Amino acid sequence: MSEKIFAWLLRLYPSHFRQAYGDDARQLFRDRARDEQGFFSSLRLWWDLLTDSAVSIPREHYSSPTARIEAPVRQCSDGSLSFHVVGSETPSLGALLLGGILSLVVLGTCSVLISHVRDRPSPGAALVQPRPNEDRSSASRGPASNGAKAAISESGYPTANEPRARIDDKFAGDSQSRLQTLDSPGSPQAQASQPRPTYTTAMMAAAPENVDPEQRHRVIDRAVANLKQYYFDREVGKKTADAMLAHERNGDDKAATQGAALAALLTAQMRDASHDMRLVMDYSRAPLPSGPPV
Amino acid sequence: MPKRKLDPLPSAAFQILLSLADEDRHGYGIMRQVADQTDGRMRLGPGTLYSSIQSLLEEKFIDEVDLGQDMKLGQERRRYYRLTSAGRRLARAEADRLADLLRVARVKKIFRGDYV
Repeated sequence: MSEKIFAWLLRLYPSHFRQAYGDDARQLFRDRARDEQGFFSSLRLWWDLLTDSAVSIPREHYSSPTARIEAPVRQCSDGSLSFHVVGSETPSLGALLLGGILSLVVLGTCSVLISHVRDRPSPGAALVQPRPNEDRSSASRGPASNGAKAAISESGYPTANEPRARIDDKFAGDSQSRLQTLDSPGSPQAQASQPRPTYTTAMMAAAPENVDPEQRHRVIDRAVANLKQYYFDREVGKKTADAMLAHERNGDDKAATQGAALAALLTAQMRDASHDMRLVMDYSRAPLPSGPPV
Repeated sequence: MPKRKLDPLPSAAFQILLSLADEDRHGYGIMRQVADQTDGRMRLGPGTLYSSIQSLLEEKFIDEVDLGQDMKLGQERRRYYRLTSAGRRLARAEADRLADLLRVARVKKIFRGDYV
């Protein structure tokens, strides 16, 4: 019974100690128990064992890393990989504090970087803006007689006298028109105030090749809305939109009864108001691909 | 720089070295000899005894010898320990250090008249 209790006490020692001296310790206990019989002798024996354990168990656990890391070093001779010990001291309090502070700094830096990357929109997300559902529905409600497409987009090198207009007569049956505006990053203004390009797309009611006043008003209205909403410089966008509305009120657009002519006229009006030669109203009878121009 | 467990030399380790000065002994024999040479004031428990022995073995102040069966204590195989020359020098140096301390204590008249 006593030996079992001592064996249990021995289990509190680190494994390396038990492996090396467990049998010897049990033998020593047996020797003492045999030689020190009687109540007081047994009491003194257990007192010695308990006080010794109270001191030596923590000490052995404190020094156990040295014993643990010695084993692989001894295995070097057989050619197997092993870790070599360069120091057996436990880290000092200063080293632990320094390690903790460095860990906190690294963790903080990583979290800041991750949040920064998360806040940055990806290129794909920047190029594709959500299109209002009502625009799609209005497009689907549009007349289907003459397909026409009008777009405000960035052209390569447009000038006020050369509005970029494209008429594709091959697709006469298209029922959809679309208005697109694009603010390019190539503009110095754009680079200064908003380095990333903003593309906006809005679906328009169908605009036939021969534009009636209602369709003309719808195209202008959509262009105005897009300019106000998506043009990188809100003030210039609003000024340009107001100018387009003023031209419409004055009846300046009435002469443009063809899609291409209306596109050229609106392009000139936008450039005149904004002094941004990249703005262009593009007309096409063929449906433009869905999504913003790239 | 690894921490040296035997610098300064613990009292238990010094007593173990002294117990092995005249004879090779196993663990229980060392314990009994230490108890005898300290008039029973120091009774090494298994934890202190074998951790001190381990430290002394690592520093090569003692060697392990297998003398086989102990005829007095039965037929169990025991590990005996022997003092090395380095261990003897260490014990002598520690004894000299303690002798110096004793000399200082005498000069300072720490002792009662009986010891002076």
